[in-house]
Amino acid sequence: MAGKRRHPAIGIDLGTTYSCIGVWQNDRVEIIANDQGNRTTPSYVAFTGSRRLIGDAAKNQAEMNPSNTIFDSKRLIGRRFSDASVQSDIKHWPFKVISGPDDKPLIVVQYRGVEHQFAAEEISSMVLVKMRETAEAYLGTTIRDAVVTVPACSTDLQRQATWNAGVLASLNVMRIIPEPTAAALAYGLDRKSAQVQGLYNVLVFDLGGGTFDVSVLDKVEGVFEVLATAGAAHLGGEDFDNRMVNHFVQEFKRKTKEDISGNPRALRRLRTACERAKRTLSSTLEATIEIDCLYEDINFYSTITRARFEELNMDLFRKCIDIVEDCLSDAKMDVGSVHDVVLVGGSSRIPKVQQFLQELFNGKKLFKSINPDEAVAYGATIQAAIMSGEDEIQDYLMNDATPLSLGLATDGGVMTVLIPKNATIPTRKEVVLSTDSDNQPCIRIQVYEGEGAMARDNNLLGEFEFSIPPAPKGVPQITITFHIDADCILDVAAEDKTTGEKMRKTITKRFRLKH
Amino acid sequence: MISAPLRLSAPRAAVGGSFLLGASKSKPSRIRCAAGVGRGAAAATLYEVLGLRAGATGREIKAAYRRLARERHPDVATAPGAAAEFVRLHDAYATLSDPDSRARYDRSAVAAVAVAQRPWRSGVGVYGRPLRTWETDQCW
Repeated sequence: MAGKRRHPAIGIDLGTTYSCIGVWQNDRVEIIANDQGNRTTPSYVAFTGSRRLIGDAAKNQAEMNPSNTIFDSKRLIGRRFSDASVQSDIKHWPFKVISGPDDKPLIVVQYRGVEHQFAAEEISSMVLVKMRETAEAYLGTTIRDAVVTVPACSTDLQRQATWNAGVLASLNVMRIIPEPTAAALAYGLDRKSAQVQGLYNVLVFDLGGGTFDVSVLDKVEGVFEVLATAGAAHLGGEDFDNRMVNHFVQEFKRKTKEDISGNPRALRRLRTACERAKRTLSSTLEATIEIDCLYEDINFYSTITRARFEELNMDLFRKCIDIVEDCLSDAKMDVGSVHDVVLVGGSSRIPKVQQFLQELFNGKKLFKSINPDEAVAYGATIQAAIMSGEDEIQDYLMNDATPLSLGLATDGGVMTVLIPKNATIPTRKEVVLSTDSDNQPCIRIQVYEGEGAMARDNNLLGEFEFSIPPAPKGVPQITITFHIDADCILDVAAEDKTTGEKMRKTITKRFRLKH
Repeated sequence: MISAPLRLSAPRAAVGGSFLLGASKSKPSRIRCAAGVGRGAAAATLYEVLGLRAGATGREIKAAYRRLARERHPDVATAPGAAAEFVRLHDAYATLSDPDSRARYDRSAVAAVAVAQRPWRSGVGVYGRPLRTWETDQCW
């Protein structure tokens, strides 16, 4: 990166349920409001008979157009149709998802009277276009460079697909960073005035609408480093909403003998009311649900107490705390060593969640000086400023880490890890392999990503074959080198020391899409 | 191979041995002088990659690594080859920040010097006697 760019760089929190955008301006982060005046924008895209809607407009008409209103595209991005999580999600969505080429999930909608099929990254790119246009309207100039966030536990495919969505949105995605790291960066800067000398340990608790991430980071001499990450891809505000929806579906059935679980429109209206009630319950002890003509001219009025809401979700809250404890043990840290606990994501406002966290950390005050909905975009903007060479931000640097282990399939299909989870990037690792049968003509290099002990339990990222001259088994010495650059691009090279033969392949591809 | 006898049997006059022997002791009883190494030469030890002496504490190692990372990380360093430089820096930090791997490294470096072997794997560079300067002369 050389010098300042002529156009400002932005940070985008591309969330499962809401997205947020920030820009570095006047030596600080500005979170930009959209055309509705909201600082977060629903990650919704809707298709009608006459036009396409994105953001607030899309979400506001969801009740009337459930099968053509797309949300949660982040749950499909970088995944296969046959994934268990995708199959489970499809049952909950009112819109249609089918299997496309290479087992890629495609979303089917009626748009201007014609059926269209969209990939998840195309939907996400529409959200990103909306965010970019929001920033351009605010700044009065063209936006190109952006840092985009992903959940900490994202796979390589998910990061690639997110990057592709940025390309489709005409953005130059400078970096894709994990959400908890972005949040830590946000708080690191926010704490600059109260300069913490020496070692500073921070735990980021990121409970958003769709995903849950925990990261433990430390900061020494202005450099953040990820020590450990943990999380759940399906744990967040939507899951709490689901529990409430199920609760009220049962209540409605008891009162009226009618089952609305098969009615998408009724469910959408009920879900909207439940989400609103959930937010209300963070600041009051009771909330009301009032829906006229919920189902066949039947009105539905009810109340729910905070205690009941907590009871419905207690196992999910405890699961969050268990994941926090796992993350601390991964980082080889006890609760007493953590200087700050940072709350990120709208669902971190839930009082019971905060209470559990405080109890775990022996009453420590939880950090929430930055709006939890905006902290991730705030940090992404800081990272964008760092990479743009902004002078005022050069005291900070973020050392990123690999989210999952990377390795090779070796003898018997065992996963041999070369680069473990949470390894700082850029990094390079080597291993020497040999053959397992006489006169083997080549060896197959299969690169896997994941934590399973057997390669087949992990994601295959790529493979190639390396030819070798005939030799008895165990004699050839093939050096395999994994190199990950700062952008998380994985390069795999193979070299036979005896013959000098070399071969290399870039496993993580970032290509220009032709559209 | 027991490392303690090796340390004791190392010739007192050997500059490298003397330097490393002194550095390896938790409480060196005599004054240690830094050996002068030409700037263009590859750093002789992982400690020198981090700009530290061998007796540095864990906290010093972490602080040194982070300070240098802030200058050399590809995000902020514009020179080509910044990534490779950062990888080298991080590898040194990874070895020295883990007590077990640091102890193994210290033992191997001492052992290698004591028996006049190269202290790290071949292909990385050739270890030569450090250049004599007025600072090193005072150690003789």
